[in-house]
Amino acid sequence: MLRRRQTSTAGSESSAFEQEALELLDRLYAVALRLTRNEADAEDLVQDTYLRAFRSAGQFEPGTNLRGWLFTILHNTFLNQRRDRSRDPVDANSELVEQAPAAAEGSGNPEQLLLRATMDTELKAALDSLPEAFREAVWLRDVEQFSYDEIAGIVGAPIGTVMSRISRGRRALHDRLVARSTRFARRASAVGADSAGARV
Amino acid sequence: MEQCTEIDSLTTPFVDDEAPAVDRERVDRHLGECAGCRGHVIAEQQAREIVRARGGALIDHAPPALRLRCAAASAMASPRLARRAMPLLSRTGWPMALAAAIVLAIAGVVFYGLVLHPSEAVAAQLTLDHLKCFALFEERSALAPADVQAALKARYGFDVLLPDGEHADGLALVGGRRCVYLEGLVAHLLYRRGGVPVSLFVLPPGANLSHTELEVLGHTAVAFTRAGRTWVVLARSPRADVERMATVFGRAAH
Repeated sequence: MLRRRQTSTAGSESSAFEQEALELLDRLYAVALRLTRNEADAEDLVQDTYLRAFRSAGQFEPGTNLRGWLFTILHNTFLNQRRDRSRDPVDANSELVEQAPAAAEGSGNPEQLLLRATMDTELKAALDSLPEAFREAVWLRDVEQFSYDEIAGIVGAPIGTVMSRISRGRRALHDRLVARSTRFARRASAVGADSAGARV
Repeated sequence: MEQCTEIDSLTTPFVDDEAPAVDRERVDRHLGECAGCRGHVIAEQQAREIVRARGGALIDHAPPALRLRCAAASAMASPRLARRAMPLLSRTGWPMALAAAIVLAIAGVVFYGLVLHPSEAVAAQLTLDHLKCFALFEERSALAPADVQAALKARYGFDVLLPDGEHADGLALVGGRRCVYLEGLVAHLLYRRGGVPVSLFVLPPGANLSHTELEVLGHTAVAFTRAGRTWVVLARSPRADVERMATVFGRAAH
């Protein structure tokens, strides 16, 4: 393989392919982190994704959607790894998740508080707390900004299901952010009261 | 008024501003009459805006070591390895679990080792890479040392001279790769001798072990210097056997 790459036109194409693929490393690592919620697992997932991608490079058509192709490989690799490890067996794609109620009640008011108080770490934590299928759909749509069609191809689900996951994922995310910001406001209020009491 | 269930499937393209005009009108009309759905759409819009506004900050940078590992993956992606390793990975999952454990262990070894015993830390890293590479990257048939030498030279600039034929003393070369620690400048040659996995590591200039012999994690490491580099032979074998193999490698490298 090494000699072929050094001496042929196919080799230079292969090298360009590898370079282009590796430029997407951060994006693949980020979605891997959201899927695995574990740095070591995310690193293994990304490395395995690249290994599979490089081995299947001949199947990729230059000029088509490399990013979508790599995300598809990562998604499938993740499912395979999880199946092999028999971990989180009912987290993703289960009927329970698909049919879960939107559960948007309780938000009531504090939208401005929400927008103001949401830190990146809180946002990541809230995203990570979503069911896997929702988490992935929201990430692919709102961070990676894939089209519905592309997401359907990546996760292997109908477009209607993809839209439903995005919708429910966003609403659930909103609920979690509101709940976090409300807890934060209560704590801040309690600390303020304690301080006032101490001064007295 | 239309049923909420009929409108629900239209809200995401509505929020994303991708709904056809006719659907948009239906959603608008319904939202004007239904506070519940209006709340859902507002929630979806706000979550969307937050994530999109913070999207760039949510992208974590991959660790430099991972970048090297992925770059190295291209070197390992030969069709021969593909046939062998992919079923291995997907069939049982244990090699990846092993790799994950090894990565964690390496992190711990590096952290403690740099503070306390650098030589043992390096030896421990080499031992862990020895285990990982034999689990993931070993070839099924022996390789020609000349081919591996040429490939390592061309691809990574590694100059290594390997024993061949009768000079190999029963050492069969079954893999060659670049390790991703010590800035990715370690050449790793995988051998089998009498069925036992044996690793030869050639460290970058300036990296060395203060001890010539170490026992780490049940393995014996024997180090020697050739051409300004430290060579380390490592196996789960008695010290005398590892020393003998080190002599074989040392003669070839001379």
